[in-house]
Order: sequence, then C-alpha cells, then structure tokens
Amino acid sequence: MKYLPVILFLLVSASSTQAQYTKEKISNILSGDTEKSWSVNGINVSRPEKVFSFNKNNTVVIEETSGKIRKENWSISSNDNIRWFLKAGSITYELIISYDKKGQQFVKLTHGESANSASGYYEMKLTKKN
Amino acid sequence: MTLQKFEKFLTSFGPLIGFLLTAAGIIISTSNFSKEQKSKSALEFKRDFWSKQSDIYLKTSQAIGTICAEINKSDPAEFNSEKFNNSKEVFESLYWGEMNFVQDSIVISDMKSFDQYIKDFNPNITDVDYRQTLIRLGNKIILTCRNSYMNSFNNLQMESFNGNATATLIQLDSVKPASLPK
Repeated sequence: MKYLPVILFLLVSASSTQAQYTKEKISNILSGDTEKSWSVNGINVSRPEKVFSFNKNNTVVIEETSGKIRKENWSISSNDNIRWFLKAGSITYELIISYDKKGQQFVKLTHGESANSASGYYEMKLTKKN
Repeated sequence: MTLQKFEKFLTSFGPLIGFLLTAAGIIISTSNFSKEQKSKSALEFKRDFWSKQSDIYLKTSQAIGTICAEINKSDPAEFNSEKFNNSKEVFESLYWGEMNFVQDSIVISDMKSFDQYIKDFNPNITDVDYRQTLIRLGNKIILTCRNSYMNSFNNLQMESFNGNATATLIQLDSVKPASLPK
C-alpha cells in the first residue's frame, strides 16, 4: 500500500508526454526576440546586481546597484535536459523557471560554491522589467 | 646422564610449560573471537545504516510520487492542495534533515533543485514544460534513489559474503589443533 504513490507516479510519468524546456525555449524566455531586461532581487542575501539584460547574441549587460555596468557573455547548458545552468561571465547559476501567485513568469538563479555546500550560496529572483 | 637431565628439566619446568601452552591457547582463541565479534559488529552497523538509508529513500520517493501525481493533473480544479502541501512538508523535512544523514551527494543535489521548484509551484499554471520539468526531475530522483538502494543492497551482499567467509576461516583455524590426528 505504501508503494502505491510511487507506482502511480511512475505509471503516470511514463504515459505523459515528454514536454520539457530546451535550450532554445530557455534562451527565448531570457532574451525574447532580441533583448529582454530583468530586475534582480536577492532572495536570501542582497545582491549587487540590479538588472540583467540578455541579448539574443549571447551577451548580457549587468547593471549593478552602484551604477557600474558590466558586459559579459552568457550561455545555457544542461547535463540531463532537466536541470539547466546559466553561465553569465565567470559565474554559473542553476536556472529555475517558475511562476508567482499572480501567474507572472520569473526566473530564479541559484549559485553555490559546490553542489551541496551552503557556503557562498545565494538565490536571485529575476522578474521581467517593464 | 642426558636423559636424567631431561627428566629433571621436565619435572621442574613441565607444569610451567603446560601452563604457558594453555595460556597461549586461551589468548589465541580470545583474539580470534574478538576479531570475529568486531567483524560481526561492523557488518551489523552497516546493515543498520543501509536499512535506514533505504527507509529514507522510500519515504523520499513516496513524497515525490504524491507531489508529481498532483502536478500531473492538467486541470487545476482537480489539484489537491492538501495532499500536495502535506507531501511537500514531508519532502522538505527529508531534504533538510534525514537525507543529509545518508550523504548521497547526487540525490541531495537533485533534491535541492526539486525543492526550489516546488517552493513556488503554482497549480494554476498549465504550462506543460513547467509541469513536466518538475515531474521529470522527480522521476530522476526516484530512479537515483532506487539505484543507490540497489548498490547498497549489492554492497551488503558482498560484505555479508566476505564476513561469512572470514568467520568460517576463523572457525576452521580455531578448531584445527583439536581436529588434527594425534
């Protein structure tokens, strides 16, 4: 009886369509047709980044709260086509696409020094800039 | 003359030699018994650990199974938020607590990601990619748990086999002098 949810889930997932995020879909979410700007909010810590502007040509302009502006390259990668990683400049973030209670799509970026270490770990919420 | 000396030696030191041989026998037997006990204790500890590990994996898989079964419902009206929230609580408790006890880095890393997804899950969103990513991640964790469990089971079998083989050798070694023909 206690195995029932697991069996049910495996049956359900096996029968369901394998829709998933792809590199192209995620790139479109981030950069839109040509360029898209995102406001940054630190979730567990305050972050110096204020705005990320992703361009289709794989460049990202990072505006900091201090007024400093950096131009970096960005790329998307995944080992399993399930978990996606964004590299912006020299920093790699895990990228999670989600929706708030109002149904607005947002992107969560998490960064840790190692996969299971809490040291240096931070999360940022990217919301579409109007 | 030599025979007399030997007899005298035996009379004087015979009991001492006998005592030393008996003491040596006791020490060797105790040492063998102690080794066997240590080996058994280590195996019992590992068995206990693997049993706890499999229990944690099973509980994690059950929680993920329930969460994903709810997420897989395409009609938001069918979504059972009570079931989802209860399983989410179980999952989070396992992720922050018991799972760290077994220290399976691959599972923990995927669970971290799953935790991020379910933290903000919005049942009113019908985006298939959004839902299927979460379901596929859940499926991946369950399969990783299953594989880790099977590996642990294989290790346990190997350890049991090695443990039994060692114990048998120790037993044979300890009965050898008594079973030798005089």
